[in-house]
Amino acid sequence: MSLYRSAYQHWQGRYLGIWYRRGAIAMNGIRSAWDNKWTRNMVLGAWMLSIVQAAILFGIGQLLVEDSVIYTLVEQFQPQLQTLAKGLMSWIVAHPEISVSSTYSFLFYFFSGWLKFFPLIIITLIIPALISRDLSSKAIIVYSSKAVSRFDYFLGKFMTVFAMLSFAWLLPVCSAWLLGGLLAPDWSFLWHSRMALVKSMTFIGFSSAFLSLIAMGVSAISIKEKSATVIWVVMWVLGNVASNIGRHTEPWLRHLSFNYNLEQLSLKLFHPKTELEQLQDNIPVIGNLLRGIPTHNMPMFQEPQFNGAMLTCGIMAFLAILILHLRVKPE
Amino acid sequence: MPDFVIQTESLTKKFGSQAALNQVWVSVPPGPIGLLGPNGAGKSTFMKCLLQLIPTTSGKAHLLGQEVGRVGREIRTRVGYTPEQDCHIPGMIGCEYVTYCAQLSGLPYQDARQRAHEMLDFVGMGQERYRKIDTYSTGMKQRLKLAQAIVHDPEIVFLDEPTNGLDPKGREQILELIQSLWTEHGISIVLSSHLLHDVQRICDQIIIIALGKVLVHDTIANLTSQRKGAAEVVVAKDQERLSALFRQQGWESECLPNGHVKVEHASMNINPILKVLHEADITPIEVLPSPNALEELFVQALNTAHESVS
Repeated sequence: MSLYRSAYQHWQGRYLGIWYRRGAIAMNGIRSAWDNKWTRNMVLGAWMLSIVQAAILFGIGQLLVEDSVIYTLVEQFQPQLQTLAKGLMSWIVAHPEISVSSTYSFLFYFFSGWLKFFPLIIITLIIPALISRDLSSKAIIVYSSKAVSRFDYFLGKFMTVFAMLSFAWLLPVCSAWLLGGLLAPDWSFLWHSRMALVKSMTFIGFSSAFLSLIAMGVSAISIKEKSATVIWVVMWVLGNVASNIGRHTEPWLRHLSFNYNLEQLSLKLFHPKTELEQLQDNIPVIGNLLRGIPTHNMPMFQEPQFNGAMLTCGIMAFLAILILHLRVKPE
Repeated sequence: MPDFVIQTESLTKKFGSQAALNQVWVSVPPGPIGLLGPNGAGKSTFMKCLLQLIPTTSGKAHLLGQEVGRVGREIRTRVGYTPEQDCHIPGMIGCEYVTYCAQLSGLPYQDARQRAHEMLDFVGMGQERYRKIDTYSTGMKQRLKLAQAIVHDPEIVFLDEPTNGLDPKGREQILELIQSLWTEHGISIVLSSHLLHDVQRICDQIIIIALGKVLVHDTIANLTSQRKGAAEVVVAKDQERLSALFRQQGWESECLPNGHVKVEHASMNINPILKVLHEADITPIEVLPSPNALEELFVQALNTAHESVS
C-alpha cells in the first residue's frame, strides 16, 4: 500500500469555469451516443442526402452554362426543348434574385423536412442514455455532488442532443448550401440563396431545440431505459395518427403531433405558396405550366396554422421542463 | 483552512411532519470525524444537507467557512463525496469515469486524465481501470468511488459507509488509505459508518446522531477517559471464583456467556485487575481492556435518547 499512497499529490492548477463543466457533460453524452453504430449510420445517411441536395443544386447551376451536359442531354432527347431551356437560362441570368432564391427556397423546404427523419431516429437511439440511465444507476447523485448544478446538468444534456441533431440536420443542410454555391457557375448564387439558408437554419435551430427539450423530458419520465424509448416512439406514432385523424375531423387534434407543429413552422418560414406564385408569375413559359399544380389539394400550399402550432410547442416544452423539474433530483 | 470545517446552527430538516434533523448545533474542527448512529438516525440526511443534495427546512450550516445554500456549486470543488449506494455511469470505463468526475469539478482534460490515473493508483486499482465499471466487484466499486471523491483534491471528504461489501484485507487497505488522507495530506474526513471499529480506527472525534439529534460530539480520547474502566478477562477455568474476587473488591462483575469475565474496575488501566489475578494465582489467557468502548458509549447514548423521548 505504501507504493500507492505515495501517488497522492495535491493539485496545484486552477479550476476551469462552468461552461467547461457543462461542455464536459455534453461531450460525454456525444461520445456515448457516437459509440452506437446505428447513430453513426443515421448521421451518415443524413450526409448522403445532403450530397444529393448539393448535386441537385449543382444541376440547377448547370442551367446557366451553355455547353453544360444538361443542354447536351436535352438536345439529344428533345431538340425543341433546348430553345425553352435557353429562354429559361436568359431569365435566370436576368432575375437571379427571383430564380435562385425561389428555387433554393423550395429545395431547402423539402430537404429540411426530409432530413428530419434522421434526427428523429437519432433521438430514439439516444433517449435511453440521456437521463433515464443516470436516474436508474443513481449517477445523478455523483453529478449533484460535483461542481455542477441541476441547471448545468440539464444544459449539458440539452447540448448533447442539440449537437447530435446538428450533426445530422443543421450541418448537412448548411454544407449542401455551401457546396451547391461553390459548384455553381457564379458564386453570386451564395448571395441570392442566402434567405433559403437563413430560413433553414431558423427552422432547424428551433426544431432541434424543441426536440432536444422534448427528448430530455421523455427520457426523464422513466428510470427504465426501454420504457423511455417506447414512450418516445408511441408519442411520435400516436401524434402522427392523431394528426391524420384531425385533418378530416377535429382540427385541434392535428396539433398533438410535434411533427405537424414543426411542419407549420416550416410552412410559415418558407411559405412555398408565395414562392410558387412568384415563379408562376415570372418564369416564362414554365410559369404557365406551374399554374396547373392543384395547390388547393396540397397541405404544403395551405395557410400554416402557426399560432396553434407555437402554442402547442410551448405547452409541450413546458411539460418537458416540468417533468425534468419533478423527476431529476439527487434524492 | 477555517477553524471549523462544519458549523451548524439549529439545522433542521423535515420530511413532512417527521424531523430527520432536529435543531442540530455542531462545530467541527478539521480532522477525521466519525458519524455514528443507527439506521434512520439522520446521518445521511446530515451529510446531504451539508452537500446541498437536499434542501434544509430551517437553520444555518457552514461548510469550510462558507454558508451552505448561498455559495452554490463552487463550494463543491472543495468537497468530495462517496455515496453509500453504487452510482457509477453504466458502460463507462473506470479511468474514463474518474477523469469525467474530475472534469465535472473543473479540472482541464489533460490534468483530469493524469489525476485520474494517480488516484486509481492511490486506491490500489491496476489494469482493471481499463474495464467497464459494470464488470467490477463490490470492492473495486468502493475503490472507484473513493478515487472519484478525491480526484479534484478536495479539502474535506464525506464518506458514507466506504467499507461496505469489502473483504477484511480490502477493508484494511481502504481504511489505511482513508486515514492517510488526513494524517499525510491534511484532507478532513467525515466518515459515516455503522462499523464502530472503522470509526474508532480512523477518527479522532465522533458525532453520535439519533432521532435527528446530536447526542454526543467529542474526541474519542475524551469519551474514553470519562467512562468507567472496564475489561474482559479470559481464563481457562475458575470464572465464577474470579468474578467473586472482583466483587469483593467492590467492582461490578459478571460471567459472560462466551466464558469471559467482565469487570468494571473504575481505573484508567488494568493494573488493579492484574494484581487481583496475581494474588489469586489465576493465570489469564487474555485481558481485554475496555472492550467495545465505543459500542458501549454508543449504546449508552442511544438509551439516553430513548429515555428522553419516552
